[in-house]
Amino acid sequence: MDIPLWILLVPVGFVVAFTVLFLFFNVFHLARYGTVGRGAVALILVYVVSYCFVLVLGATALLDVSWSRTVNVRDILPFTGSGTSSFGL
Amino acid sequence: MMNLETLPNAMPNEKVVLFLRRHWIDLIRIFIFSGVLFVLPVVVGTLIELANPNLLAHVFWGPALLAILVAYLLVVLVLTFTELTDYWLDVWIVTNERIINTEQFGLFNRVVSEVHLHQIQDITSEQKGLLATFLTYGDVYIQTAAERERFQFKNIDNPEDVKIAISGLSKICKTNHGHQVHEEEMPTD
Repeated sequence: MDIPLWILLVPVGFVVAFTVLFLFFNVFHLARYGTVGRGAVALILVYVVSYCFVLVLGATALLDVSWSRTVNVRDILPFTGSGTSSFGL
Repeated sequence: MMNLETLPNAMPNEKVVLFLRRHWIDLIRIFIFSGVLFVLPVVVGTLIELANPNLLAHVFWGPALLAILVAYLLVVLVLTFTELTDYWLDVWIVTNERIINTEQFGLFNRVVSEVHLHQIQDITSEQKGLLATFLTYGDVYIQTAAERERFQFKNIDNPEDVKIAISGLSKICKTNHGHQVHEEEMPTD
């Protein structure tokens, strides 16, 4: 039985949604309950910039994979299958 | 955002005397813990490479491990943010009239309480351990007359100095309130 490789992106999508939600909660808490000053604003900027940096880095790495390929269930077992790299090929 | 110039329910002539956060050692702990979690994939990747050099180039496991890595890094990053937010929002404000205790427990549990300085009965400072002694950080406990759990300033810098400062402010406040009571009791013409 063949399964499409893009199925792996579904849990990643859930994790991204979950982390974006938590990023929002963190920013909201700092903006709502933090003390007025440059500290909270700097922290919010650090959160957003570093999150975007890791997200873009991850997305760039994931884009190098050809997700349209399918893989046979037997090939999933790492020591028995005859799988070849799907990175950019 | 909370403005220290205009505190909620501020009394006339109330001024912020001390603004306290947890000691920077807590921040270092957060960064060390996050650093270990960020380095962990490198260690695991090296072990995988040693155990099975072809696994990372496998048609399924290569992309699967990459997807797991991206998800893992995002989760660790957000956990670090949550810890930093928790650190940032744990504050203790001492004014010349009261103490405002604001504690954040995770993202969805926040406790704000206050005690008036004239209600304070007992103040205790505590420095436990080698690191706390060298870096002069520790806890300050404040007990009031009311039947409630005592206030705790957690891991603050120079707890001894804070204790002395609050003790002094409490004495002044008690004296002032004593005077106010006598003035109120005096008959007016």
